Amino acid sequence: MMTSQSYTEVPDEALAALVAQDPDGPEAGSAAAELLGRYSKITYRWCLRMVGDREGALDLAQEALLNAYRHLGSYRGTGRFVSWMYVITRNCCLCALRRPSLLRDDEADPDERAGDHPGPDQALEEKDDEEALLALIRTHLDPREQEALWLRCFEQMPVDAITRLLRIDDASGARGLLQGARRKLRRALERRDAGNGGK
Amino acid sequence: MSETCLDMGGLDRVAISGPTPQDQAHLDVCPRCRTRLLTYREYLALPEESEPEGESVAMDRLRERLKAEIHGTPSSAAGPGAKWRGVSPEDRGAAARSARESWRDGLRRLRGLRGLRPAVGLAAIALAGILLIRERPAPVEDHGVLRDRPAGRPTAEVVIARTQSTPDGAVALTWRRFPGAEMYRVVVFSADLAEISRSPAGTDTTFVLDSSAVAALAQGPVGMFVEVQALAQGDRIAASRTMALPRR
Repeated sequence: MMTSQSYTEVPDEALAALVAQDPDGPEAGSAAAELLGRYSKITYRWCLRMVGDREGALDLAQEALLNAYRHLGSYRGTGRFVSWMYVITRNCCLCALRRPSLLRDDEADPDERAGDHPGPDQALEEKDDEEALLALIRTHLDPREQEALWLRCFEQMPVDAITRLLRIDDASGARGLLQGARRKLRRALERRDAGNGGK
Repeated sequence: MSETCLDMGGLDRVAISGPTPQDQAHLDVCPRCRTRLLTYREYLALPEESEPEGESVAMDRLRERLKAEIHGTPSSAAGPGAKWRGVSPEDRGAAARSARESWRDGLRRLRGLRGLRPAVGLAAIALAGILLIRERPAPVEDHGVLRDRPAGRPTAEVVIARTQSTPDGAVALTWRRFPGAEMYRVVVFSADLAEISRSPAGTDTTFVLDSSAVAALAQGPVGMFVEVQALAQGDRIAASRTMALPRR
């Protein structure tokens, strides 16, 4: 039997396989604790980035790590363990956060109130059709705006995190980029609907 | 996701080795893959960043809670008012809200499995229509799964006693009653743990997944997983290990 100290040199993938092979075995608990302990910091930091407060990040990180623990048996070892943990952590955060609207965003556009612009975007968003939204974004926005809006709406990243990630230097940060992108999209949708005779 | 979009393995490869010319050509036109790569690289770089304020305290609490769950012992660091209750955290907060979503709403989580949507949609309809939850009079057979829980196991676990494939391709799950549970439900996950659908809650301890649902759910390249959740007053109090759905 390996001691918990001896696990420190064991790669993540091997530890995960050890737990998955014999979840009730004598080594499973220690191996899982070592493995998930390695991911505590990165998981917490990601969650902190996404939710912005320490208590919320702690709860979310705990949820992600326990999700990983409970589902270790589904890790097939076909990719790196870090990428598997990323998927779990990301999914956990996406579940916990409210997805911002493509065209309205309280955080990025505090002056815009929901209902101020009822219109053609609603049907599109209600359909939740990612491919249609992707096509719209590709057609009407430049690459920088595409990235900012996609990060905000589909990765659900906070505005300040987008500013850092895209290394935006100007004073308004990602907020200005997002506002501009939304204006373009609204205009494009209005034009499209006018062309369709308002259908 | 289009056929040329990078899956998680592809993103990891690009993050490590850089994009091939084909990857780059796709990244140039796909904001989804560009942003997924950006965020994944950001995640990989997190350990190198300076420590956020209060992290060491948070880490102590997190590791203590994790250890308590894995080894099934009370957490001294959880302290009064801590949200840790020694059971899966999915009965809290947003996840709890998510857990109350309907069977139909679960299907909306299939954005990343677009190719499987018709199959899984069919399966969900089949499940909703053909779902048979019933108590079986026959004794539960122990295939080495149903046994006393070792001291090192989590305390809040529903033990699946038996999975049996019938000749017509249906799969019957049978589990042990969990103390304090009023109802049970079965939840189906994709390989990346996105919930696909869930059965209505019921009091019985057997769930029969109809053959057409099994076939539809298991035909994708990634496989599907099921777990049994125990409920009390509508809240989830325990769950089984996640099991791969047998492929035909």
